[in-house]
Amino acid sequence: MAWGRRLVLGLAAAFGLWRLTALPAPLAEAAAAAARGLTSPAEERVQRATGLGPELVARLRALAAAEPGLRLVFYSPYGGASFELDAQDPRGEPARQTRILFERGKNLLYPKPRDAHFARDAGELLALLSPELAGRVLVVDGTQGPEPLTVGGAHELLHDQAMPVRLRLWRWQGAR
Amino acid sequence: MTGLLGVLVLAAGPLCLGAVAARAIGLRWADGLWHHAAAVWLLGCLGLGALVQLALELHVPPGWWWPLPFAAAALLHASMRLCAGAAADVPGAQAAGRPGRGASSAGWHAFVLLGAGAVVLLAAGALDRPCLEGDEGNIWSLKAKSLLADWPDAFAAAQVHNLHPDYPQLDPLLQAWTYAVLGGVEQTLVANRWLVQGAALGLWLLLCAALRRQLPAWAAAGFAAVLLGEPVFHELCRTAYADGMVAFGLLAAVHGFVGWRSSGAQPLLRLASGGLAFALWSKNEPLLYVGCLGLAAVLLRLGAGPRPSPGPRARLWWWGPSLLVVATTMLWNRRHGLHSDLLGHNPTGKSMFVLLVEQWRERVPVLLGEAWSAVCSPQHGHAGFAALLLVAVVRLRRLVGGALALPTLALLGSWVGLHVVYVGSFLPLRFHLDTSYLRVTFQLLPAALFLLAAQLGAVAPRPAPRDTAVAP
Repeated sequence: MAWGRRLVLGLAAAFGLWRLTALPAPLAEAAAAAARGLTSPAEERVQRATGLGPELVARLRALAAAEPGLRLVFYSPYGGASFELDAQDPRGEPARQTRILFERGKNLLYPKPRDAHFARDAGELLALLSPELAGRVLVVDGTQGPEPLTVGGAHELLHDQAMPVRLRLWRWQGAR
Repeated sequence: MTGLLGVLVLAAGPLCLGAVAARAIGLRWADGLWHHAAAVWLLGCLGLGALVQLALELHVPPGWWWPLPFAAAALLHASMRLCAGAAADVPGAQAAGRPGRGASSAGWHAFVLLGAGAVVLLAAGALDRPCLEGDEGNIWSLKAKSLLADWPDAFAAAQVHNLHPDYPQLDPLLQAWTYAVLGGVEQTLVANRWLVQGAALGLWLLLCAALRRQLPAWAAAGFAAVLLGEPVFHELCRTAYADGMVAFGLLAAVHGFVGWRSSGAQPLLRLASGGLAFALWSKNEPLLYVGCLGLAAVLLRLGAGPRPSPGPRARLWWWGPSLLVVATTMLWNRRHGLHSDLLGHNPTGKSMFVLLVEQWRERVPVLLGEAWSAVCSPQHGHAGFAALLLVAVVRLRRLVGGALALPTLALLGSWVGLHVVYVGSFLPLRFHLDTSYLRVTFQLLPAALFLLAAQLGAVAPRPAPRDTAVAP
């Protein structure tokens, strides 16, 4: 049976060496990414990864540092929650994008603030606007239209980011 | 601490501590360069994790954390001098033996170095991507930030923001030390990964060293290349996921155990002990693997009858570090009210065991298909699991009673066990498989490749030991 084991050994080694042919592409990609990482400023890398520009990030950090206990909500009113977990279903894409924005934004800013959430439609946002939090909820709004945010009452516009994606920062004033 | 000084401290901390710890357990550079380098990183990170945990408990300010590994290394070195007279007197050091002075293996060294260069380049590719997304952002680095920013008073309450706050925390502890060295959680978005990424490099070096002990250089290179060509390994090189750490610890445990059973070298048993503790402190899956190890031991004992098992017998201390790690994790979670979603703290309110019974009819066929697809995929190295099973079955008579029987049966059982966990998952199966299946099963792949090589090595021309593991 020794020949059989030698055959398996040879096949396994050949398979491994053949797998090395898959290596150049990831290495080239890694080299390019490493070069970008070493040459571009941190703010630019953050913007590429999160969509949050340096001014918006600085504004969020300053507000959270000045007012402990703020709630931050990443909001995008394009639904899709029911289909989010099926990666093949395009109807879930808006919800997936909202979650990605929330996760990256929350992890970037933590621990200022700690209390971060996401909302994929007006109902979900409304549930996060507790009356006792009036004046202490910031909403990063991904609505891609000119209309002001009116969910749950009045909101004060604090920042308007046009690029790379339109994001407006609101402070919820409370129910009308 | 910033700039080059910060980078130097980050690398030197675990290396210093690991170098002294490796010497303390009887390992030597002369036993094999790559083997020793990997062992140093593993032991250094394990020790560093313990130091940071201790610093948290003693409320040592994070600004004072950077010298911890250096101080511990100095203390350990001094105590070794005092207690043993000289490091050469470490029990088992002689049994570890020394490599031969065989023909030059420049080609082999070049292969290992090139592979290490590839791993470093893959890791450097992450410099462009802040550590914010996926499990590395939502679990591992978030926990690390919380250990610094929320500890102690706000820590428990802050864990509601973490997807899996109950996970073992060696990975976050290492990241927390990195944040502390660099001056705080806002000082870096990439360097916090580095010690964890070091585990990927350690995994590559240890696999090369372990394979070379079993096979001639050409075959060892072929087996090791399976790891280097594995897309999941590429991803683990780029991220702070803990799955690469589990694979590293498991490989150290299996390789150390097999080496000790076949040679009696105590330093290898100590390395195995450290490796298992490292894996258990990295993620929860190794608990399943230990359970499978116990089951495999019982089955082999029943199958072998009253005959004594071959090879030396481990003493109870072998389990000491692992028991300490598991106990620490359990007590930590209990103290902070952290629960596992597998045990019912999930939207269904049902534990994995209840869901297992409810879902097996529907899910087992899907999982069989997934396993088959992974094993047959030329894009992945999962054929290694099938090859290990095949070789084990063909060599069953010789396998039972040998040093490889227990780890082989335990590993194959663990591979099956991982599939059973998916049967009992509360998440939609397709979503759960797509987001974790290949990554989690990868944890077992390097150890499987090593065991396969060890089985096949019996008929291959024996390499002259030179640059790899501790020789018998």
